[in-house]
Amino acid sequence: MTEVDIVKLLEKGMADKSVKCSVMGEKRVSMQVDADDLKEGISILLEACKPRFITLSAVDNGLDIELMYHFSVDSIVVTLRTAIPKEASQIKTITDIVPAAEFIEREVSELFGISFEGHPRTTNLVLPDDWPAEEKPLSKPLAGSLPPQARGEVENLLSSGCAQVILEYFTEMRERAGLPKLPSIACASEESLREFQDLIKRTGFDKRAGFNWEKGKLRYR
Amino acid sequence: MGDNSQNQKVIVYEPELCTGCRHCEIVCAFKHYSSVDLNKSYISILFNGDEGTGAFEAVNCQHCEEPICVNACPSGALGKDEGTGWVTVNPLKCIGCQMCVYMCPLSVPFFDEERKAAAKCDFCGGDPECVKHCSPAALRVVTREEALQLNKRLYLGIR
Amino acid sequence: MMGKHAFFLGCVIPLRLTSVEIAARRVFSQLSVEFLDLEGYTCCPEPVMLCLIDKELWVTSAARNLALAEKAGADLVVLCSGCYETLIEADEILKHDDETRKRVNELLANIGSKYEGKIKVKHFIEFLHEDIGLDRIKEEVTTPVAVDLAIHYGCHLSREVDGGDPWRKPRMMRDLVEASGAKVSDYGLEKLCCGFPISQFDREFSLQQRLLPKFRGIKNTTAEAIVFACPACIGQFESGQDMLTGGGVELTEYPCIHIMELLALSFGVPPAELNLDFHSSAVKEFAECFWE
Repeated sequence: MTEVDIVKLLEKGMADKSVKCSVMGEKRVSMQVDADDLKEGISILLEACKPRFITLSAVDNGLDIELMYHFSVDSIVVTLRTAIPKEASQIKTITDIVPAAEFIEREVSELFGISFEGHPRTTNLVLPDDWPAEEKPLSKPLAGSLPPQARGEVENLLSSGCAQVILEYFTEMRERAGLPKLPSIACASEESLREFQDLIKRTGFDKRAGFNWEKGKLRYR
Repeated sequence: MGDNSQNQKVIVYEPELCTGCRHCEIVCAFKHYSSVDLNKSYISILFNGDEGTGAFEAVNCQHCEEPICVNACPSGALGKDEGTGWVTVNPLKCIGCQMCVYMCPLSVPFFDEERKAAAKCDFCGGDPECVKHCSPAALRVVTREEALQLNKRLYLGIR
Repeated sequence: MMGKHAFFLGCVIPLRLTSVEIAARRVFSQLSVEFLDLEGYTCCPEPVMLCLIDKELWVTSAARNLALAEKAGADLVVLCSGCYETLIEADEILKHDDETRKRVNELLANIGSKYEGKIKVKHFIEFLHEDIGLDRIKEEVTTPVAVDLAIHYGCHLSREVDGGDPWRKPRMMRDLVEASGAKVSDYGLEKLCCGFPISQFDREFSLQQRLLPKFRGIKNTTAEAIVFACPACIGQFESGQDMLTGGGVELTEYPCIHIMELLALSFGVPPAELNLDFHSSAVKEFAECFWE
């Protein structure tokens, strides 16, 4: 079975889901998948290739934790990658279909604070028994990559289309000077603002920066 | 030193045009380290004048034709690309001896304490950020030949 | 025959230094130039930090602003030097980089917008100097502001595309200041940056190594106020001189007037109608003093 064969069968099996499969290099295949579809992807791989489960690696990206499930199909390493938001650090266990994942899921859970739902055993594996439960040694604080000086500016920009905070002190002074309360800036009209915010979403910037639209703030502020 | 050395791209700095905004330092540090720590910028702007005639000077890598840093490096971490002419450091090979830091006549490379390796201008892979953000175009990308002409005029008064 | 023009006000002028907007509207109205307001415009976006943080966001938002002007069939006259830097740079990139333009237009198509590179982006200084002309401006100067002024150009004023002369617009600014009736006091450090960009990362440096030398230079002249073309520079000078004196430095504080406000005064607009109390420096007092 070649790398391309594996990519084809994964794409076929996950045709109705949003996945991105690629050959990363010689003997390396990768599939990017949503957390909810991960188990299905693994099932398809198990069924078609009878792979050996190698291990699970977790990377703390600041806002999300990326989980990479590595399998070996003969000598080809197939990695299924997914990301889970740190605010809700949980994912279904795969131990019911891949019993070999039991130890590594426990280790990742202890060190990163991820909860693997349905895992049969949750006692400490690598950390001492008297280790404080809330302390997850490898997990970093929830933080994005924007420099501190730019965070407020970005929040204002995405919420109102204007990098400055709109203060009543100034809008009232504008009115007293005989000008409209707001200049013809995007947030002066609901339609313009929605159009601008739609455009932002299409650039994907909100996801990259970790902006929470409901809160009107970055996820980590 | 290749035949095309005179056609290779370098960054030239014209002090008369510089306004001292230090955008070049800010964007260089941010591009390479994702945070603005001006000590880690690969270019430095120094105020070289006194009352009334404010003049600046930039300390930036010239990607020399015969780089002393490359000759001084014992581990082969520093190398000059034959085609582009750019001198870059491979942090994975660097042993942290800091010979390049001492030997460069312009003090361009610095020792990054965090990464425990030497760091220096990498020409941003061909599209230097500092040049893009220089409003008065004091920093420009020109050929080595043009740069030598300009520097001769600026520093030696030769037209 | 002059085509249609639209103001690009940006975020800071209308929402922090509104006196500049008021002055601009009065000046252009007296020059019989009709300005459209861009409906639904956004932050330019900011040319240094936002441009670096996310190029896609920066070029797409700038393209949307440019497309708004295109849709209105108007050239853009930009009132803020920072916005000018973004819009002219983005316009250059979109004009010459086919791949970026295609990608941006694909995104803009979703909101019914398109960038075609049909309009010009002009700094208000060059619009006044070239499109209107000094002669026409001098016609309107009924109350020349006969005071000594020091000029601060600001870094972005020297932005040119196609390898133009960086001192072109600063020279125009000087001509306009003189056209208002003022006498320019040279202090040698006109082109030195105000320190605003670096102030966010090293405030002390911006105050001690950029503002202070300028103040010391200006103190040696007969200048009674400083004239600017950029709201960020005004902010840096006004807050900076407060911080320096607060920190115990012996300093004369100067009124920091915007060139649009200066022109409005020279056109006969009384200070009371310019709402100069938006400034935190003594611009209102300076103008009232001159008006008497």
